[in-house]
Amino acid sequence: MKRSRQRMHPRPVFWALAAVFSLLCLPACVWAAEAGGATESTLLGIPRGKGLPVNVRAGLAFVQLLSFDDINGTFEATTDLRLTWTDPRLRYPVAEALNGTKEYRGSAAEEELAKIWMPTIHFVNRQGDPSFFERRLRHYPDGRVEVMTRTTAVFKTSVDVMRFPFDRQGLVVKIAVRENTLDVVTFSCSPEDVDFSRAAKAIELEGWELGFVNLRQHSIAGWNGDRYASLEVSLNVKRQAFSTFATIFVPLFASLLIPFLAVWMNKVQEDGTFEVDAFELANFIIGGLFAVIALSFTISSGYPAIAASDNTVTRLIGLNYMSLTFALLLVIFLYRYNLLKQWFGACFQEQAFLFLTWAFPLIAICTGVSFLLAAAA
Amino acid sequence: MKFKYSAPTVLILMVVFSIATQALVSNRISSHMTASSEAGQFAMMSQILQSELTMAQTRAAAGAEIIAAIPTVKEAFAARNREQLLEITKAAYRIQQEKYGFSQAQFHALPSISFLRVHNPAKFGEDLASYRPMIVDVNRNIALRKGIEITTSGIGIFGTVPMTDAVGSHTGSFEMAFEFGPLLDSIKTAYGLELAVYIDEKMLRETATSLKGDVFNEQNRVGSFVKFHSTHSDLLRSLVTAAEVNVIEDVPYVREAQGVSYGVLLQPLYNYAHKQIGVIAAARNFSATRSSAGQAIVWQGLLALMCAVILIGAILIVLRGMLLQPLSQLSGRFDALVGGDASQAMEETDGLCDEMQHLAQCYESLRKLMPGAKVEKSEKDGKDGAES
Repeated sequence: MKRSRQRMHPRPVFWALAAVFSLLCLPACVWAAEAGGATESTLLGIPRGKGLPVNVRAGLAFVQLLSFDDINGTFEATTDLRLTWTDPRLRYPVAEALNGTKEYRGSAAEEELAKIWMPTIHFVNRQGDPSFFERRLRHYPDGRVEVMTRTTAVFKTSVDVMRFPFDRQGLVVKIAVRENTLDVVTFSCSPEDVDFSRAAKAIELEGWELGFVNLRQHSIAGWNGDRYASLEVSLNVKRQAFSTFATIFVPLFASLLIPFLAVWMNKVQEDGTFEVDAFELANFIIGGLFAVIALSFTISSGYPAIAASDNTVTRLIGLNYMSLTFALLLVIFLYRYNLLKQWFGACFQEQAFLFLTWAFPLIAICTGVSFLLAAAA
Repeated sequence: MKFKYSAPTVLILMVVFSIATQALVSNRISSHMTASSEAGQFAMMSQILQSELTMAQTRAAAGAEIIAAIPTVKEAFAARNREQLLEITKAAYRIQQEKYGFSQAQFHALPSISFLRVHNPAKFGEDLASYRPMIVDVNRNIALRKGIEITTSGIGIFGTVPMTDAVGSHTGSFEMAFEFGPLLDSIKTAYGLELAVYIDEKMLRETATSLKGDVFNEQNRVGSFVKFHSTHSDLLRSLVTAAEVNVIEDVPYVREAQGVSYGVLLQPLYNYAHKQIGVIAAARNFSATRSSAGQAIVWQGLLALMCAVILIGAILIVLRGMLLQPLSQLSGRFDALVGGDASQAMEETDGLCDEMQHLAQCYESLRKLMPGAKVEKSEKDGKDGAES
């Protein structure tokens, strides 16, 4: 019996205990690892503490307007986009905040933003990459997150020149949420966001007057009936009309005088015939035609947007062509073939000619002025 | 009186008068159409404001009824257990506040004593009868009421319901309220209107004693009113001034702001006691309508001018070319003939009208018959040649 109770060797016992201990610790380690990983991924997930959709307040201020190319419909601007939302998971004691908030800028902001959820915002009408990009993050004790993004970029905007030169354009910056539908993330604009969304007082845009900034919420259609939140921020600008008069409208109205020479340069003699030959006046008209063609070509190449649509300039060019056509018909049928004289007598032709000397210019000029007035209305 | 001047003058005046009358009438018709269109838009704006306010009151009442019907709420309130009541309701209220725009929730003990403000638990116990007629009415008549009232914290859209205990005895009342701000913001999002609410400053100062001082500043002051909330401060500041805001009925008008025409509707705002406490302003962009109206005037004017010029030309050419000028030529020749000069022949009579041609032919016949009258050498040579 004594022999059977031999002392056990300590090594196997030690290894057995170690194995049991390891087995007990392993789930705990795994759980700890999983818990640590879950915390980070939870912060990156959509904040559901206040329910869905997450309401993202947005405002956009125009800090600088570098240029506005109304011919190509682009403008370059520096903008501040302010996005604010609440993430209850990011609450912290008020005492931790210096000046009431934790603020991060530049690379520090990027580091912090990489750890939390942020709506994926896409500048819909931005052309190319921004030439300047910086973000500032403010983190409030109550879980509010404010991200300010300053961007300098070129944006594409539609230009409607129908009422040129009295037209108004909207310098539009359109942002949209990607990845999350309207049920998950939505935009809203409070009066504070509207007050924030304005053009800086120092902004000057040559040839344009600045107006209000308007915000409009839209939605963009996706697949299978999904819709994504979108916000359109539009800075209204009004063209300074008089700056275009010297370059465009004075030549157009001046060229309108050329067809009138067909009646002003001639005279009815006592015998009922015309003093100036039809041939000489036809030369006037053909010369005028080339002048209008050259003017039309110059405007088309300098302002393709104007040449491609119905507006005051194209209407005036059309009026020029119509007046030249009428003058040419006058030269042919009145001066060359004396048709009125043949049909109704010399007196009738003479009175008709006298009438045309004032009626033709009056109607043509009044029509041209009407085009301008209609655009200004 | 010279027919040469008086006849064309009369005819031209008639033409101008007719065309001017026509142009004026068509301008009036198109102006009337524009005015009708704008009146329709104003009517729609008024309807939108009314229906949204009514809906907000209904939503407030619905929220209050849901909370008031919860058995544990009834029990805690009947037992006048403030802490338990707060514990039961605060979570639900927080969700309603954060997601749906509710700003107040309050229990009232009979007859109108503030029992528990869920949104501000520290303040309770005062008698609300002096400035909350709705609560008095609910507890007196044991019936649901809804409306707008000014409270110590501002202005809200209230729905108030009577509270009962488990056996149905009336124990007090409960209310929930919306703020105006989120309501106006939602109307702007839905309909594209810009809105502002103006409250009588004196009434607001007397009752809203907890209201922060930044509301009462010069920028917000508009006449005797204070701008309580606005969806677009800069725009509404230029559209609504002290001269217009004091209205007692719906007042529409059109005003320009930075060159853009806006239609503005001012609607008086009444509280539950049917006393006017302020004004709601709604503005909509009318530039498209106004622009169309302006263009219509321009095109109508141009068309009238063209018609007038063409008709005047026709009158002048026909009268002078076909009648007066040939008559003048004939008249001159007759004068010469009377003086003894028969040398002036009437050439190119083919172009004359039949009546003038007959007269010209008569002249020619008379000219040839004149004895001793000067005859042109060519005519005389022709005659001599014939005789020989």
